[in-house]
Amino acid sequence: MKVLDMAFKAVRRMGTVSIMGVYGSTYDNFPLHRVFDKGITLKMGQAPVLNYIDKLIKLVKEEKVVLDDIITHTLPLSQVSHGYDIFNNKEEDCVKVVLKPGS
Amino acid sequence: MKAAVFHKAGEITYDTMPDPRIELATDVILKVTSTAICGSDLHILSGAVPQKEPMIMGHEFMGIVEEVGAEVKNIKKGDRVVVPFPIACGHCFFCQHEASPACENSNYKHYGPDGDLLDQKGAALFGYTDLYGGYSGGQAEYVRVPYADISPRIVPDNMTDEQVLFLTDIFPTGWSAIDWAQLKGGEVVAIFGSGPVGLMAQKAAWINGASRVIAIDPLNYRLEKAKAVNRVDTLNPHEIDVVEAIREMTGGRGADVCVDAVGFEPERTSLIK
Repeated sequence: MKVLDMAFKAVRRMGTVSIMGVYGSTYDNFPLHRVFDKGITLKMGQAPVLNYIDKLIKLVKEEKVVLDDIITHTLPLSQVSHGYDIFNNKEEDCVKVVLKPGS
Repeated sequence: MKAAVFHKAGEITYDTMPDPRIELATDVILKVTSTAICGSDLHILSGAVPQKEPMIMGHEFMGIVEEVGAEVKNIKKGDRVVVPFPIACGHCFFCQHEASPACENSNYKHYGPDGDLLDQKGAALFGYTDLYGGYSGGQAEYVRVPYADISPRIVPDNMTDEQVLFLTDIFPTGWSAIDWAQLKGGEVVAIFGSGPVGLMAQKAAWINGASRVIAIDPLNYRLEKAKAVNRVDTLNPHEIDVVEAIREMTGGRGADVCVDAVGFEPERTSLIK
C-alpha cells in the first residue's frame, strides 16, 4: 500500500495529514473520496524555515531538544560517494551522514 | 576547492571545482565546517529531479563567514552561521507574507505560478538543480550564500556543529509537519518514515504536546533508532497491518495526525507491501 493511502486510512475522521516527503510527480488513483468523506485536513510543501528558525535555535540553545542523536556516520568530505552509497542503500544501519570538508 | 559534484544519475564524486566568489554585494562566502546528506539529495542522485550540468550538491551546511559583500549588514567575517536551505530575498510579496518557500526573486530562471513538473517552481534551493535556481550547494569547502542578511543565523560559540547543523533543514521540516497540524495537547501522532525527517517530526510532536508518537518504517534498524532517541512506539509494515494497529491504539478512530515523511520515490519499492 502506498504511504499516503495508509496515512489517509490511519488518520481519524477530521484529522490532519501533513506531507513532508517530497512529491515530484503525478499521483494515480488519488483517494480524494476518502479525504473528503473523512474531512481530512491536508497540508504539504517546503517548510517555511524562516518562520521557525529563531524559535528552533532557542529550543536547541535551551536544551529542550537534542538533534545530533540521529547521526550515524561522520565522514571526511573526500568520502562523499561512500556516504551517498550507504545512505541511499541503507547500509551500515545508516540514518544520517555528516560530512567534514578539508579532511 | 574540493566539492561533492553531481555528474549524472548515480554519480556524485569528490572533485575540484572553481572557488566561489562574491557575485552580488548582498552575498557572503562561507568556509563550510559541516554539511550533511539529505534524503532529498537522493532524488537528484537517482535522476528523479533532473540535472544536466555538473553541480555541487548540498543544502544542509554551516560554516564561518570568510568574505562579505559590500551591502551585507547583519553578519561579518568570522561569524559562525547556519544557513536555512531555501534561498529567500526577504523583500518580495511572499517573503513579506511569511511564505519564503515561494520567494519570487531567488529562482529567477525557473520560478512561476504554475508549479509544473519541470518548470515554474518556487524559491531557489542550495545545490538543488537548475530547476531550483542552479545555485552551488554546501557539500564543498566553500559556498556562496546570496541574500546573506536574510537567512543565515549566527549560532552560539559553545555549541558544536552537530548540535545545530540540522536547523538548516530537517528539524524545521519535521517541525512544520507538526506545526501545520496545530496540536492542542494529547494527540496521537503517527509518522510514516523514520529516516532523518521522520525522526525530527517525532521530536517536534513530543515538544508540541503529543501524548503518543508512533513511528512506521519497514527497516527495523530505523525503528530501533527511533525508540532509542525519541521513546516512540514503532510499527513495521512488513510485519503488521499498520492501519489496523493504529486503530487498535486509538479506540478504533485512527491517529489524530499522520505525517508522510517518505515521499514519492520509496513508494515504488520498500514501503509497498
